[in-house]
Amino acid sequence: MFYSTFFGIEIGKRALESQQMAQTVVSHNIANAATAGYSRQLVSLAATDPLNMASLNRQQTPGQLGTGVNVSSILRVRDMMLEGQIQRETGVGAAWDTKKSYLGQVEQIVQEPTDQGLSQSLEDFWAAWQELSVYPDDIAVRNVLLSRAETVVNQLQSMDADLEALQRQADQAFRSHVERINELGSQIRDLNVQINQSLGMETPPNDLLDKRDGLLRELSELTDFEGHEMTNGLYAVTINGHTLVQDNIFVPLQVVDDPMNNNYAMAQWSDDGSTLVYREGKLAGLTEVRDTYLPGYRSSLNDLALGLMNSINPVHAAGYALNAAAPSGQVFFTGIDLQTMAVNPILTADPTQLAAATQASAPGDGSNALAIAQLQSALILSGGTQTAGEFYQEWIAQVGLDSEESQVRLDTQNLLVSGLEQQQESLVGVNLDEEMTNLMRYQDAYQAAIRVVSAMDEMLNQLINQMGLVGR
Amino acid sequence: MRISTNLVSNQIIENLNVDLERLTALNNQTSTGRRIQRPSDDPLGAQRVTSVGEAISRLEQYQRNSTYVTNWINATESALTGVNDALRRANSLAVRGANDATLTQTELDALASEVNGILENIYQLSNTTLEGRYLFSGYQTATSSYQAVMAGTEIASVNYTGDAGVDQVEIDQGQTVNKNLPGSVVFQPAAGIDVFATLVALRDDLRAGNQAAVAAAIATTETARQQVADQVSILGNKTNQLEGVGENLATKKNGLVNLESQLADVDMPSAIVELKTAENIYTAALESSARIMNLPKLMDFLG
Repeated sequence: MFYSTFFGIEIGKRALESQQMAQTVVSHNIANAATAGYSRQLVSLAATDPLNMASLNRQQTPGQLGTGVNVSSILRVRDMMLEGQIQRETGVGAAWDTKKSYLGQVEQIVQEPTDQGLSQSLEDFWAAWQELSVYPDDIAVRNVLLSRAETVVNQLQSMDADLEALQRQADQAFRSHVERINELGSQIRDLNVQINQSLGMETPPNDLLDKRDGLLRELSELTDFEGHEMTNGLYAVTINGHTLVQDNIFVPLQVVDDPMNNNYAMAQWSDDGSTLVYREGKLAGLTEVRDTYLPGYRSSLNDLALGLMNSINPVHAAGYALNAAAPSGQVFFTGIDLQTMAVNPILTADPTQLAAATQASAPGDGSNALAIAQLQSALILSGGTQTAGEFYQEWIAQVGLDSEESQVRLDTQNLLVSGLEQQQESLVGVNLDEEMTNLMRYQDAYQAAIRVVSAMDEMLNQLINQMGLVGR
Repeated sequence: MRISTNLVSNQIIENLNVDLERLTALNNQTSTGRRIQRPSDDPLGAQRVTSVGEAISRLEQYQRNSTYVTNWINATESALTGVNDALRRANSLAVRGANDATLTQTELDALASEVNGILENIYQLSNTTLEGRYLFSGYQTATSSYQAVMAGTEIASVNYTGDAGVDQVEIDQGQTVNKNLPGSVVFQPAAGIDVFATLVALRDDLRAGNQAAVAAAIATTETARQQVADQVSILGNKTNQLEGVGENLATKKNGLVNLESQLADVDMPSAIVELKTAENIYTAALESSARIMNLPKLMDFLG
């Protein structure tokens, strides 16, 4: 039976190298204990191939002889199934988060229920008509009515303008998010190339993989996507079946103004010009806010304005101005929609033109004012099923319900995501006590390996220097 | 479950945040006294609060309207009571002038000037104003109700310068009340006695010593008084009705104000208890977090 004289020293050397490498990995883990997105790395030590593999012409030995240890791999710990799930649920959460933030702003614009909101102004407006029906010949009462009517118009218009500003804000965010998707796509492509090269050299690019996962996590906040990891370490990203990144190819998106939708932005693929389709993520949240929620709110405000105009104007026009001999013929509100709505300037210039009477030359007649005041309880909206007040109150409830839904959905989604993230963190996170223990383990093994080398050294010393000197 | 070092601090931050958020929300409620800060706190509650607010503001307007109408009616009533008293006096003068055959013309003339005084008094009452508006002019509130045609210093006849307009004021939803009484209904109704003409005739008959005609005036003055008294009692009924409506409005308003407070206001005792609880939870969370973060590490014991 033969083996190399220095065989034992070789085992010691491999042990030293392996334990030192293991300690380095542990140090890397400790150094990154607080790094976001870092996956702890595990060293797998494996016994090297033994001498005398089984064969017919093998040497006769009592058993196979071990040849020491080697680092077989340094792998990061990460559950890629779980990661995929986290990405999907993050997208759902991000959509609700966007909606929550915008709908919260809508609630601030609405300012209900307070004494400063539109409901109060509307009440004051109707009360002013009642007041005019009692004091039809009082110019001060007429002026109060006109200024309250202007308050209602201003408040409706400024709410509408604020909501429109919010729409534009959502549109700006949409544009910058699409830009960000492009940046992420090109970074993922670059990482693909690097990772592929590393894998080709059989060195697992753990930290690059972490970086790519971080980018994918961010991408998942913006839009839903499908990710496929190939065996060669390349990662393909498709959004609704259309490729964003594949191997070393990256297909950018472009933002175009949509003439069908107020020139708000839409995203298109630069290669075939098809429209980007997404269901989750901030893009979906922003689109829903910009194209569904806000236009809906604004159109309801417009309906309210039209309801007031269409019900008050004809009654007013048929009435008689103060001391007038003929019907006034003047509308109370001019304009054709909320944006153009205004209190008739002829009335504001001359309050006596307000038609409070139903009879000619009757200064004490307030019956037309009363007829208008009674429109407060007339079913003038929603196809004759709601009063102006009911319509607006239901609108407030709708704003509240939408916002509440987004808050509740976001809360549950956050619970889900943070549960999944905890699972992943529990797997990938660094535990300092554990790393300490490993450090001790590898350190002890390293020290013992030094002993092995020195024992072999002593043995060889005996062999070389002490042998063959019998009888000298 | 394996616990990583990050997991501990992440969870501490997350939990403290949840506790603090709850604490802030409760603090907001107790410090503003309002349960609903924004519609999403309770969408249907917000809808009802606004709806109740609208109802309250309408009731308040009805209350203002009915106060105003009551003032107007009271003024009308007191003017007409004056007219009623004056006519009663005219009636008793007519009785004296007709039944006492021993009266000399001088004494009849004295009676006549007293009747003239009553006529002037009633003429003035018929032009009563409230806040600068003529009570008996119908819609023509800016114009005096009656215009006298003078013969020398005395009233020869009186013409109505108002119209028959009756202004209606809403005092509860769908319930209106006539605010004014046109003079034409009280003083010169189409199917009734012309109060002014009656007095002018009585004065002139007394002056002419026509005791037979004065005797006829006993009945007419009484009918004229009755005509005015009827309107006074109608006004009295209306005042009662207004009082009833006013009480009704006040009761309704109380109910609604209560409801609004229940819907919109924070139930302070329970909110404060909740706030205290949330505060305790937060303190406890801080304490236990501090303890966990201070747990010794393995390296503390390694040499």
